[in-house]
Amino acid sequence: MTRKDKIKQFKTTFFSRGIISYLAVGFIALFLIAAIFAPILTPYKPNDMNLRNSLATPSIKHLLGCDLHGRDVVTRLLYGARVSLVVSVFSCDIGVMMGMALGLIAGYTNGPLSTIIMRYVDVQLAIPPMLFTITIGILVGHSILGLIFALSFGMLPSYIRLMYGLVLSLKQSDYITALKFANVKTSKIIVRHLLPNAFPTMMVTFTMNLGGTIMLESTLSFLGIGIQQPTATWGSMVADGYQYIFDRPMLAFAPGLCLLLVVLAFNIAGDSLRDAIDPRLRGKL
Amino acid sequence: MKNDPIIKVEDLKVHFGLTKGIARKRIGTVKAVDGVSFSVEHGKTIGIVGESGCGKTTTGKAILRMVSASGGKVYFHNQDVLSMKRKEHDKIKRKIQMIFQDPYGSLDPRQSAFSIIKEVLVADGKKRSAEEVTKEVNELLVMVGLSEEMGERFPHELSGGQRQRIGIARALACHPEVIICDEPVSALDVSIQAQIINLLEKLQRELGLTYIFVAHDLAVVRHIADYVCIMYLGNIVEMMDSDEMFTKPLHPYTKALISAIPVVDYHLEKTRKRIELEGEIPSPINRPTGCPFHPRCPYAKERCSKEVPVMDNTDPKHPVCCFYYKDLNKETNN
Repeated sequence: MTRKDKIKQFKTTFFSRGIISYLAVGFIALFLIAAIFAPILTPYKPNDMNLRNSLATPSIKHLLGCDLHGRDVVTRLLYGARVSLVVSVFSCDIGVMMGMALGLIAGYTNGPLSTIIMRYVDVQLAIPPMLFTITIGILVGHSILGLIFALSFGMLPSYIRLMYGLVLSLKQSDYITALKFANVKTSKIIVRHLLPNAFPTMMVTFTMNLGGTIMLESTLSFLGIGIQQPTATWGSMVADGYQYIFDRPMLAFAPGLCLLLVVLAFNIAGDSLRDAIDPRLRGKL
Repeated sequence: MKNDPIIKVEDLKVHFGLTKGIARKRIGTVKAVDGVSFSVEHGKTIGIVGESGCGKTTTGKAILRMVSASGGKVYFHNQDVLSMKRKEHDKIKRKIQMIFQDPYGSLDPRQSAFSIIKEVLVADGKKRSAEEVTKEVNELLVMVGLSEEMGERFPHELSGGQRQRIGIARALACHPEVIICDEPVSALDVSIQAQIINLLEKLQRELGLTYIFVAHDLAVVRHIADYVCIMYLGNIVEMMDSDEMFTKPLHPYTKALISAIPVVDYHLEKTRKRIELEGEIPSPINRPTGCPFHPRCPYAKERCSKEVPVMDNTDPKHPVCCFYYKDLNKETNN
């Protein structure tokens, strides 16, 4: 099969969910564009206050109106996408990579190191993840980097657990055993067989978590622990806006809807990606 | 030298410790394999037969060092495999291969048939050009009765029999001398079983392979094996030429196994006397005292529960592990 055919097949499987998958990809693209080109897309600055526009209703100049301090909601949404994107993608990436690495070590070596890692996981799992993340967040301070660290650290044990279980079951499988009999190098077995076979499950969890992390970041901002005012994040926008939910519903509704759509889009895209890289579904979807 | 055994197993023991609690207190031992000895000559097939849990698969795994043996020796070309250092073992590893029971679980679902075989083939570290590799893999595919085009297929696109053929080709890619077949046909339906058995026999003739054939299907074993070991609860109870298994079984357990095979002839089935065994195979944690088979043996006497019988080598080609087999067989013959 040529490269062209493979790409074509990937596309067919990826978009096998029809309109939903196109919408999901479209929305993620929109999200990315908004985050990257925020300064070009809007004439206003996210933190510029103009008290004359305080709680302004939607108009041509301010498409979704303004908040209490007269800041343009659309502008803040665009800039808020940046924070959400950076925080969620980076913390999930770090979390899943560290989790896969530690889970692999724990599952494959099965020695004292494995016991240490798994007992640590048990300890951290005994603490509610939300509480853990909040504590770490307070400890490392209110920067984006600190938030990323707290979030990735908080999700680490679930990834380690998952990877550990996958590795344990995979390394017992007959095809891995056969490769060991044939003197295939351990590094090759891990890279070519263990990781690819663990990948689909990790992938699904990763995308589920990506949405969840955006939510968690918003929750932290809502509680006042995450990114500090006046930096715009979707969570803090909801937090600020909900006080005026009956008079100016757009203030809380717009960032909330953005959150919902992004989380949904990431989940659908993740599922599609898993299907597309699974040879078992080749030509079936 | 020709009659030197290629594999010689001496008093092989595999014991698993049972532990309890955080302190890992040892509360018992599972004697999965408890003193098994046999040998196979070059180019022959030895069958290992027994019911589930009798340790036949564990024996195979111990020879490959997949489970660590607690005692005994396994000689391959007069070298003890079990006491070898890891590096030495890596050198001879590829000479002993295994064919697995489950054709679905034994192939990586993300790999094409071609790359499954290729990966094992190139792991010997010899230098080959890409064309040579392709040529050798295709030869292996043809050798196991598949076409070269099958190489592009993924495991889920193949039938059970075809998958098992890929499994065989993968084992052959190491150029082995001994293949341990762990119930290779028990997951396949009867017509495919015959094809795979015939394929194994053909490969044995062409490549001079030695098989250790683990199975629970007596008919299959009689067909393929030259020599049969009957195992019960981690011990070999009887060894014989495969032809004698049906005509001259001596141990009461072997007799019971043979009589458990259903007979198609209705009248014969009604009149023949079956030896029915009661109860389950005892747990290998609490092994019965004396002869391990005595709680289920219809002919057990008092001595059987007190003393452990040893192999009776009166007929060196047909050793039996029973005190009273001579008396028993006198009775039934008269």
